[in-house]
Amino acid sequence: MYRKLLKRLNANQVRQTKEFKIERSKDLKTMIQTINNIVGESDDVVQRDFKIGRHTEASLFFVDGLAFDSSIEDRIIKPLIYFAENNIEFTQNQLVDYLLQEVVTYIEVTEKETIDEAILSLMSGETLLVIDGIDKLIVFDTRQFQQRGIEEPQSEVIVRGPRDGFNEVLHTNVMLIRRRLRDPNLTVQFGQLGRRSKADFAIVYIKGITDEDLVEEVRYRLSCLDMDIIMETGVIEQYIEDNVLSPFPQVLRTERPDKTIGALSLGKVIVVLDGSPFVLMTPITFSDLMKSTEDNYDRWQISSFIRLLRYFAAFMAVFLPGLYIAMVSYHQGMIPTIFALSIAGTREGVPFPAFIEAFLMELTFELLREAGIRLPRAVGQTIGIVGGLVIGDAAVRAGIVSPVMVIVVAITAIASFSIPAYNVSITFRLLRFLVMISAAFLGLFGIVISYILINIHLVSLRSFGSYYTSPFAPYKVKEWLDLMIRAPLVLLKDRPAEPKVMDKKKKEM
Amino acid sequence: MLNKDNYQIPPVEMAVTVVSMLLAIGILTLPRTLADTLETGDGWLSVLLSGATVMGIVFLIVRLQKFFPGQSLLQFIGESGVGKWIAKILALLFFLYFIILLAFEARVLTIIVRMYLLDRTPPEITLGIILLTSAYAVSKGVQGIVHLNIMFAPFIIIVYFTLIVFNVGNMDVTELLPVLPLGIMPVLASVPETIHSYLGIELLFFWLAYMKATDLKVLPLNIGIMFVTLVYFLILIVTYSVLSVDGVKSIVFPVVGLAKEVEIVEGLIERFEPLMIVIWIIAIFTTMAIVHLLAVQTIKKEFVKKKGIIIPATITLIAYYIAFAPNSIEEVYMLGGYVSNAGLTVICLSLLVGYLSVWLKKKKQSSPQQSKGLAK
Repeated sequence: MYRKLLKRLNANQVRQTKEFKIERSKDLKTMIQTINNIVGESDDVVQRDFKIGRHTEASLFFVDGLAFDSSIEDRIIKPLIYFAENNIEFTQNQLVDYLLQEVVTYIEVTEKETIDEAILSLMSGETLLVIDGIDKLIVFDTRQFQQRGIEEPQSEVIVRGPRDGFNEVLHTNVMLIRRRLRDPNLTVQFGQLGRRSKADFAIVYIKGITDEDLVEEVRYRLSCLDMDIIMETGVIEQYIEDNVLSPFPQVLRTERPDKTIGALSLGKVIVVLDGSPFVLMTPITFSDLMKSTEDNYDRWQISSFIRLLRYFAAFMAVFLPGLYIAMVSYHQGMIPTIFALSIAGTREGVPFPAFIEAFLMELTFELLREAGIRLPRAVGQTIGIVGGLVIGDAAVRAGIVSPVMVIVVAITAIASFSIPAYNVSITFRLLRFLVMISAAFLGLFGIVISYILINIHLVSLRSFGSYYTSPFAPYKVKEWLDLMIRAPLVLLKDRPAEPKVMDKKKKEM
Repeated sequence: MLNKDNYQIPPVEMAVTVVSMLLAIGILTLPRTLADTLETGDGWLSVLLSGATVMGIVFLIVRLQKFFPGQSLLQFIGESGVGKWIAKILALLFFLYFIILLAFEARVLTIIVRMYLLDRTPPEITLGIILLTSAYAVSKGVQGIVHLNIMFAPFIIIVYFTLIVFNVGNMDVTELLPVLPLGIMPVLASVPETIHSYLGIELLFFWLAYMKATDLKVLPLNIGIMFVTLVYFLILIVTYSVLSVDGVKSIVFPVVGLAKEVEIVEGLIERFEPLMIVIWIIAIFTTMAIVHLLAVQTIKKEFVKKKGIIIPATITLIAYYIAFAPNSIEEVYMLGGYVSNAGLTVICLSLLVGYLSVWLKKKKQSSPQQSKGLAK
């Protein structure tokens, strides 16, 4: 798949553009003409004509709203207009140097080689200056725009731990990472994605820990990504993952800076995209799906208990309805006699077989969940009450479902919500339907087969080349200290085997 | 960086693979077959003896492998002119053995599923599903199957040990006494029969090639064998002392009978037996997947060098037909007996041929013109 993408990418580079001539020119009028040809139809592109030192004509272009108006006025236009040439004779190149070095007080100034580059900067909020008689494109970084404050992440709520989360601005996000990790080896590399959107993204990793090949692989896959617009990191995720058909995520996303630097220190690569509060972490293993940063903040007994609970919850979320179906319809003998009798008692009068019953309830639950998300938050509560209390109770009273079934569905629902990553809990919920179907047809045997199938799939899965099931398989016994339990931090000295790292030791003592 | 090619099996993983290869059908019936042949509770002695014998065989295999690390036995034999044909014949024997073993295991699995889990589902469907599942596992290659074994091994081991531990209370050791009432000879005579439960080590002829030369050590593998011996030994002792030797004879699958006796925490798990069956399905599945892959590999490496789905699909289909050749449980077990004997023969034969060709090559090498060296 990637090879195909690369081929297409290469083909594009060969293709010629058949638009009008885009070339730099010494003549200001031609230059303005060219720029206006490209962006002139947009009303939010502002053109400001003025004279440098009262005789050299010049024009300034910027996008209204993206660029910082008052600083352009104070620090670029004002000095240029009031600048007196003092009878010094300049060649044209000297003039530019003189202006930039001694007149304009702006910090970030660059000269662009081509009009394409200059326009791209212009569209991202920088200010473009063209001067009559000089074929140079001078760009000031005047980007400043509205952004959401740094708030608590909505999708990953924790009790203990920092409250700040990423927002939609790339530089703010990188700042949040950098502020927590002052290591000079923390490497941030910017790039742009999307043929039209040209969204900025950053690859972040720690030099000396992260495997260079891994960084190269991430860069390669990102460069193969050829789309006109990139809306969110979720889109990138689907393009760069190893196995498109797998229900399991092979790239993890987070809104939390502390989780991000945790991942960085384990040798993972982070991808930050401008316009999304979710950053991507890769490679990951199955065990990462079950970990929360909070595990490290609590005492080890608590964290270990909670982690075990999570694995149990994951098991329940996938297998409980299937087990119920299998036991009620095939293996009544497995249930203790008294309990079996009471289940049979409650199922009396229920018109459907267990499978249909379970399917109906599970679907209803998924519906409620979806409705609860889509509704405005104030009304969302109602759904819970209507769905849970009214429908559940009424369904039981009407004899459509048995009370035990309602309990099973409720436990499954709660279990599936206790998985730290939201997208993973959806994976588990999908797998649950697979298990339910196989349980309906083949009972316990069907459940075993579906368990085996899931395992076969998992052992063959890779996330950027890392074994997905590590450290279960391949065995890394040492890492089991931080797997289903979390041993005291004193004992956790090494980084995990996947992803491969250049520096194995987390600490010496 | 991408863990895709050049997967090399570390020693621990190889040992676990061997354990899950061995722990399959044998364990369910071993107590009964031993009770039938010996008429006494001395089966545990026979198990210990055959365990030691098998460890010897493993030692021989690993020693042989050290002459050609990175190559399978058949590849090694096939290098020289005449060896090519011998390798082909051996490969054919191995293939026939593997495919019949695969069919046999699948059939026994079907019988168990029908007996304990699904009494109304047609066996044709169950068998088809099992074979298709193992064919899916085969598509993941050596790395996939080794890792699959590793994923399942803890469950299998935990269930067997639960079975043993929770039966300790029901044990009556006097069933095992007196030791050796009929002398040592019958025990010795039963050793070949017991070795059948250890079949599966032929896997080493093929998969040691995936190990690094420095990793070729006997110890981890033999610890695996020792572990299997321990499980057999404990199961035998527990079965005989709980169900009595005469009682064992009358049960088709004594170990499942043993599971019936277990009661954990007063009825919380009243019937341990379905859980046991479930785990046992997984255990036998791992063996089947390995055998299935071995069959596919033998064909692909020695006969038809073709990629794609055709060869695995054909093999699965053939196994499906063979599995329904026997008509009753007795016939299935007769087939099992033949397969085991065939397996033993093939193992001995390949050991013999292997050492012979190593000897011949060395002899050739000692003459100075032939300097085409061995790896070690």
